[in-house]
Amino acid sequence: MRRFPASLWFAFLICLVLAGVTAAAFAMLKPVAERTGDFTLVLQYAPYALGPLAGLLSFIAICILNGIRRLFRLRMIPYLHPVIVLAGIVPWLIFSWVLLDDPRYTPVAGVIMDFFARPLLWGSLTAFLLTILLSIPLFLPTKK
Amino acid sequence: MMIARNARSRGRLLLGRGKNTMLLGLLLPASLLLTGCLGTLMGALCEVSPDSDHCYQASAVQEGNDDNCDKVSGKDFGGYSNPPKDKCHLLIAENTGDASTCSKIEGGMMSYTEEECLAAAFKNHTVEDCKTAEDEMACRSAWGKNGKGCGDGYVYDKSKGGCDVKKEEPEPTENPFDNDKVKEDLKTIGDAGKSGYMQLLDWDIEHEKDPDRLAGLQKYKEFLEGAGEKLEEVTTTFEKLQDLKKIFIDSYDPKDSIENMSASSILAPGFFDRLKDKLTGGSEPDNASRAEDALTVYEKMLERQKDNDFLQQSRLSRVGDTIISTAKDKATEKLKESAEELAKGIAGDAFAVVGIVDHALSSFQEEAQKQMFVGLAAAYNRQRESIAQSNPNLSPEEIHKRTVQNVKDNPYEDVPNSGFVKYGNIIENGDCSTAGNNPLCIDNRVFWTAMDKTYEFSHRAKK
Repeated sequence: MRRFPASLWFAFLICLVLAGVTAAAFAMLKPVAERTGDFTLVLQYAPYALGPLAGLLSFIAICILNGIRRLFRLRMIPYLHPVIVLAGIVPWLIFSWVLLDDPRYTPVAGVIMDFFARPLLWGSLTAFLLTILLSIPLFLPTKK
Repeated sequence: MMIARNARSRGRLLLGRGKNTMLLGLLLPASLLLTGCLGTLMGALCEVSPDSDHCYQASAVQEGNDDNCDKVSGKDFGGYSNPPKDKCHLLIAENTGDASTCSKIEGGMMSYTEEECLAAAFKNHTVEDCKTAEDEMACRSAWGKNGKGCGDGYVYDKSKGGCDVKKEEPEPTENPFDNDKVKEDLKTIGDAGKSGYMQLLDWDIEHEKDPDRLAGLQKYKEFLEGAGEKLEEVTTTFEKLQDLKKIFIDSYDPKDSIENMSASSILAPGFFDRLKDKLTGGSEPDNASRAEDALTVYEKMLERQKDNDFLQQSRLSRVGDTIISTAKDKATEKLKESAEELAKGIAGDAFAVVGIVDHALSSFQEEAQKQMFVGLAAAYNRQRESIAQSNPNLSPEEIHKRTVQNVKDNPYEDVPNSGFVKYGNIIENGDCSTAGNNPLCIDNRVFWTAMDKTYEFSHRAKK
């Protein structure tokens, strides 16, 4: 159990959760927008792509940070791995949180918040909490 | 093993640096993102948008900043007017309550007027919304110029045509009657009228500008006149009378008054409520939820009023203690009671009976009875909406007054198609101070204030 959070499969799983939960949240929430005009078709499908895109970008960022970690020879410090995974996930959490704090003064703002920011908040929050949960074994004392 | 040990120690050495780099990496994008970026992002895309006018309009409205409105060219209107730009200013005024943006409206054919813009700004906003405006003084001045006042702490200067910060009143000059002779001649309460102490007090009343302190001084004067007859022979000193004056002034001090309580601090959502709203999109408040909010504010205000009542009660007993010496005999006790009764009779609500609030607090916490109070609060909201819509030019204070009167006058006629309206019993039972053990009562000092403040909060928070 301690080896998994320290492996790259852990990062891959978390990014998969980010992608899947974001897409699932959009499907469950079923946001509705008025006056979408030419963008109706786009808005039906584009939010599904947001989750995988965010997941892919996060995975790339995590791989880069892990590469930097190797460069500085910090591989032997196991709890750095979940920290790096969090570093790949937390920006989406902050981004979606801040977007949802904006006032809804225009229809465009409403669409961005309902179709993109809210599902992304679900996905990033779930990934964040799962990372914390699965990293707990790393901090427990080992039996020698 | 040596290599591994070296790697580990190097790791520990570098960890500090590695940690800092990671933190910076996290904070840098966060600091860029934490600036409310949606309007800015939209503005950045307008350069390449096919409809740049409406794009800049949307960006400016989303940011609540009318600088981008200047980028709306209105090229499709042949230069006679620029409706998209005028609408930009109007929408910003409507969303933020910043009336100063209306002065930039050009008007013209098929466009909007400054009056329409001002009406949109004043609807569902108050002058205090100017605190979040880009130029607060310009915003307040626009409100003041249109007869809506400049807000707390500001006054409208007609000569300048704008609002100014209210200046502190200069200290009153020394009372010419305050001299040692007054102090020497004052031996008993009966002497207060003869020794010049009353002249001293009249001078203070004439020069007092603060209405709350003035009320306290006037009641103190009435008390002294009454005490001069009933407690004529009771010994006192100048210092004791000044202490007494302070007790009366403190009793009218509005510092802890429920009028100064803010509904927004009571009803502001906590972190988990905000998280839930962000995850689920929140829900539009309906009549029932607004009425329940009003009861939450009522409950918090009752608790503050309870503390205030205890303070007033202790001041009342200090009135007796200040006038009469603390020797414990029957005659002294009777004199003390007499002094307290006199003070209560004159100052009325300022020395209220403790215990009303406990009864009022428990009366609506029973679930079965709570719905009647919810009904009463909902009736207030309904009546107020209706009066505000049919009399748009009335001030909020006047609308509140008429609403309270309407609810009290017609409790059974508010919603005729909904069957018997039960909260009428609450109105008929009057105040908790006179309702005895009947649980269906309200503390009139607090209830209507809570309704007023919650209504104003919910109508501002609606946007």
